[in-house]
Amino acid sequence: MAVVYPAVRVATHRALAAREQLVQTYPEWEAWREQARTIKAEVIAHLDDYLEQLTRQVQSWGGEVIYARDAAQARRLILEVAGRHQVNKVVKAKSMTTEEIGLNSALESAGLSVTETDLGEFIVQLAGERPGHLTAPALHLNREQIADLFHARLGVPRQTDPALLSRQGAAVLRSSFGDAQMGITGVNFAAAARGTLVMIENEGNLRLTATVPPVHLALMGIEKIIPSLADLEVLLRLLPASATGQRLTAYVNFIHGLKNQGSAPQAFYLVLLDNGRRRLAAHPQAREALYCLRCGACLNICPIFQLGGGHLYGQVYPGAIGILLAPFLGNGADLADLCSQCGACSLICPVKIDLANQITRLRSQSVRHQALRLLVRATAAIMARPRLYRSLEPGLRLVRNHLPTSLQSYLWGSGRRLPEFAPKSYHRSMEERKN
Amino acid sequence: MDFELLLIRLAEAQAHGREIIGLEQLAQALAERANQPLVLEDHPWLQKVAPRLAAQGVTDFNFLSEMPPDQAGMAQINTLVTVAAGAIPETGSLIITAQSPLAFRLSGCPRQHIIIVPQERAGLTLAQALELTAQEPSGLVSWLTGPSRTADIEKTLVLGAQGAESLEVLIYCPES
Repeated sequence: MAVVYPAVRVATHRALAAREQLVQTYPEWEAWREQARTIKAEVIAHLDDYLEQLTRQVQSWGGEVIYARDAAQARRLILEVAGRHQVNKVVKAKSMTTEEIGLNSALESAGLSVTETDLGEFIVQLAGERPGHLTAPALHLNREQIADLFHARLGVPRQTDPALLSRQGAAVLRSSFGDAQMGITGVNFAAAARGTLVMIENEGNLRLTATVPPVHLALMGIEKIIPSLADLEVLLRLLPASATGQRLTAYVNFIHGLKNQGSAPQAFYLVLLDNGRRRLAAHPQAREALYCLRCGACLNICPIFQLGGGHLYGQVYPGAIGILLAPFLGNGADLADLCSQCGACSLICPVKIDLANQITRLRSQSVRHQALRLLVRATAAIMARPRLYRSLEPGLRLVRNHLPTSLQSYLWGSGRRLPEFAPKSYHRSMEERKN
Repeated sequence: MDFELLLIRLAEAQAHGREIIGLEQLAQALAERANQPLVLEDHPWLQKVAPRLAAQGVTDFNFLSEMPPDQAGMAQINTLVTVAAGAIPETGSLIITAQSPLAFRLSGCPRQHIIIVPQERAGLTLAQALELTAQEPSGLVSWLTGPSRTADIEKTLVLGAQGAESLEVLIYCPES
């Protein structure tokens, strides 16, 4: 069995309960989902037109727009911007898109110091891990583990109260804003009409990241475009409600102008990332995965995610949506078997992506899934026949324990380990005990 | 005007809200907070309220323009008083803009933030608020819904770890 994080189950259930409580009070919920889907479908169907409009509008208010074909190009262009402004310290607000392009390690390899300023991301960064959830990166760690981490890495007294832990983290983060030359954030929505970028958050660190350092660079996947701010009337009701059960996050930040900080030169860069999105937009059946708002509700509701956590998927984007994005945005991983086909994700998705049927479609095309299914059926057939099993057991053990790692992770996924045979079967141990 | 919904939503978001009529009440409301040093936005209402604050014996207050320059904008302000562009009752949100750039920047991390919202702008629908935001000439707008919060550790809610720890909203009508 994969590593199981008990904290994941508790946290996902809490998020789901909060969501449910709020959504119950919204009789228009279904209509909003429909409207939101229509908005996103319109943009994805005319992506080039909207990209051009957004680019023009952002340039018109003084922002510089950079287009990146893939992750490697995005990393190179962002490093160029950092070089142009002699940046050596970067503060970052939480962004899955920066995870997608592996930005932190690229910046660090170039000698820059990078501080994640969202508390959860900061914890994950200290632990040397990847975020385990789209909106709650440290979901898989409990207070004891975080207390150990802070004590060891920050040299603060060990204590386990979440409020005090948060303050210990914030005190360290606070000092990092003032001496950073560049702040990097993601983007939740980009309204093409006036080139307004919208970034939502709860801690306030994003606002500081965007406003305190002289250079602000925002990275967004090209699917984050919406026609105009008016479209947020439904999208803003759907996103925080689905993510955390909030009517609105504590901060919604809007940017369509350069900040004015006296004499200090200010610069804004918007990096538009393709990295497989155009290919996905051109795929008539799969393109709806681009409607995703990254709320994380399909992770929270998923029985597989609840059991295994985000790292089970071995990809940047976990959960049901991660299964759909992996063939396009990642390394082409086939995760179609990480699904129990319960269908809950399709019902909870705020933009009505038919996740369950999309996963079934991927599964029907998956050679790996066919191979795995064959293997599972054969194993079941053997195990159901004790005499057959006993005669084959030494051979099966030999095969299992000498299975090349590459084949094992192909079949079983990189985030999981196929269980190994015990050195001696239970049956054999009992036989020996009798003698 | 009826601000019942706004007051309910503010309370839901762990902010405090109340109605204030006239300068005298405004001075009183601010004086209640004056156990901490106050920093006031250079806004006509607050300039008018300053002599009354002094008359109530409140001496530890400054206007933003009197603060020492702070390029980084990370000055730790105890209690910041600013004027909002509007409020959205549906969500309990306050709209703040960079029309006063320094007030906008420093509102990132005060310990307490007191926001005065003009009564006639305190009943915006979400659609009206988006329209106002789209037209904002300074180009920078934040909607604040309750104080800064995190639930990153075991989904336990913690207020004010990074931004304002408390948010108090004064729905203000100038004439008494």
